[in-house]
Amino acid sequence: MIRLETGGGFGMRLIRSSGVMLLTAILAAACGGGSSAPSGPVKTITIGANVEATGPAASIGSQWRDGVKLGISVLDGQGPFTVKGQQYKIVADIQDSAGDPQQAITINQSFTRNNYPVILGPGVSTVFGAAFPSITGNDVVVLSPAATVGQYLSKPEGKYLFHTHIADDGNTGRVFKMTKAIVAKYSPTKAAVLLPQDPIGELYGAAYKSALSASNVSLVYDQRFPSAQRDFSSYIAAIKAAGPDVIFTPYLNTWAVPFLAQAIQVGYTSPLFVGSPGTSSSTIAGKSDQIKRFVWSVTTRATESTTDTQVADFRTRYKALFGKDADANTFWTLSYYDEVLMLPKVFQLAGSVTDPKAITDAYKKVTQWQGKTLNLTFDSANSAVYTPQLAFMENGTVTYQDAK
Amino acid sequence: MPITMNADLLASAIVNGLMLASVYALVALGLTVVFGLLDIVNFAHGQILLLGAYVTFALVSHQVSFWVALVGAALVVTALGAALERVVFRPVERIPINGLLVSIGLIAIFRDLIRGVWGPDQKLLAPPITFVAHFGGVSVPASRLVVVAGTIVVLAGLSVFLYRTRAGKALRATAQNRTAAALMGIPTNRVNNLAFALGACLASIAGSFLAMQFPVEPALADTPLLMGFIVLILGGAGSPVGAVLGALVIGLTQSVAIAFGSSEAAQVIPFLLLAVILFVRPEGIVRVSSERWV
Repeated sequence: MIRLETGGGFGMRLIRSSGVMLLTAILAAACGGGSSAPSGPVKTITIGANVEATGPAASIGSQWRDGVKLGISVLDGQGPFTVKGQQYKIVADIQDSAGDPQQAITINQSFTRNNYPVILGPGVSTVFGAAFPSITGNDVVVLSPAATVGQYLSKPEGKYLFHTHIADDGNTGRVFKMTKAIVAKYSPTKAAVLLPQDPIGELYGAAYKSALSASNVSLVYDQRFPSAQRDFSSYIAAIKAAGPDVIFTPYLNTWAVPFLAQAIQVGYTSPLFVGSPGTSSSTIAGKSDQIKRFVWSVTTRATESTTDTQVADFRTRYKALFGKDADANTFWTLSYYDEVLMLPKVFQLAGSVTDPKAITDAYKKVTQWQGKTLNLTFDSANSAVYTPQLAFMENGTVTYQDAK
Repeated sequence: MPITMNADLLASAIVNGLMLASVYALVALGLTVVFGLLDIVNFAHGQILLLGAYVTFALVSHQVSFWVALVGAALVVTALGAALERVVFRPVERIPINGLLVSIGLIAIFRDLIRGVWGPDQKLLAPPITFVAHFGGVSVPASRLVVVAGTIVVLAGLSVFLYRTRAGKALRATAQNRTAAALMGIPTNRVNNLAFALGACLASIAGSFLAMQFPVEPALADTPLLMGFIVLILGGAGSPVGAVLGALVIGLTQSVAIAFGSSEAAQVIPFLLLAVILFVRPEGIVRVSSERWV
């Protein structure tokens, strides 16, 4: 039997005084230390990310997922932040829709049931087009890079919606500006446009047509192909017969890579090839010996560039988390990365972690945040504003230029 | 906007159409062999084709010659086809609708398996032939001509197999009348197994040919499978000769329509032909009741 003795000698006093000190230390820690620090435990804010990590758009969707993961890991490293005296940390509930609109709807609805204040995605236009209407009327802020976001921004249901890519439509959009810059540099007289039959294809097609017309360039070939198309040989034969000196290629590597490979196969390499926004240096990889001139518009910023100081911090963090260098396709991660990093500032500025109107207003006011990579702001119409890059590959050498 | 008709463009369109027709013919023949014997419309045929393309890619990326890889992939996928028939399709063979449902289930399994092993990105295979033949103003990649020639060799081999070998004759006899074939001592279960293996082999060869031309990716088989089904109905379901004729019609009209008309026309024409044939001649170009396997 063990008996607890009271009183006693020096040893017992030492134990007793140590116990008192330990108890005091525990109580001090539980009270949060200094009087100026916020009290109470750190609360968690969960945001939803509805990404196409698998399925037909997986090569892009997996980058979107990684952008969210990287952003959250950076925020973890920064520690909790305070909103109105309460400490918070942010976690992401990342769900994969596999590019299936029905799954994306289910995911979005589960996010709103859980009262997440912010949802990222879906990013694929057709998936977004199905999933976003399923949660309109809910008080939630939605951010998406989908090209079809623009059509909702001016409508009541789009009041808490943000487009994370710069606009591509109309006479002020990126495609129009890019085309004008290319025409100014290379002075083509006849152009061909080949794009997929989807909302982005139609959007880009209209912008190309408008810019070429404004620049007095004759559009001698303009076709849309079904998205499952991989054999472009007959299209190439028809384009060749039309004799353009500039060809605007499809916007994803899924189509642009086989298109260029098949053009090379038949020795059709002399025109200027222009990759629509969505292409990258990976589109032309291994082909620069044959196709001497390839120009493309970087959708966000060329994260593969080792000389661009603007992406240096991102590249370091990316490698630390994923164990590999950012490559030619990593630019897609920037569709969400900065938007996640902005969140602590947004919530602090909003003075709320739940009010969608306050969060929306705050997103439009934030200009500085830790880890900032894109020189991004949101305009009054909730559309991203940043300087797009044009990339020029001539004889195997790539140079980047900010397209003002 | 219409493109001016010229001979070079027409010649290019015909060569491209023949290559398309070759792949469609191989896909449709694979479907025909299985449908003719088992009355199963195998929707997983596209995934089997895809597996052939990925195995070819995997072997080539391990420094195996493309032609050895084509044969290797065909052997692997043929064995898989035989195993699928024995393990998955035979237990449900009495009710064809169940076979159809099983094939739909297999699509999901193969799709996830392929994505799990090779990922979603396009895989580029170093082209085994880079030579480009020039005929007047027409440049034709020799690899396309090789696909056409290879398909002709496969069709000739298939014909010899069906008409000159004991196994081929057993296969045709079973397709014509399963009961009579069984009464004559033909092991019809083994014939079913052979048919599935043969269908998988044809799909794998089509997959290897596609891998030679296009990046290997999960969506590679989508269009060939859809067109394979159209060809199957157009040519006369269950008729190998009809499958080849149907493939030629679809491949050439699609290619010429893209070159001279528009992409929209190329998409509509196969379905238009399908609708016409279903109204005018529902049995297809080749009447199956009299021509099937004969």
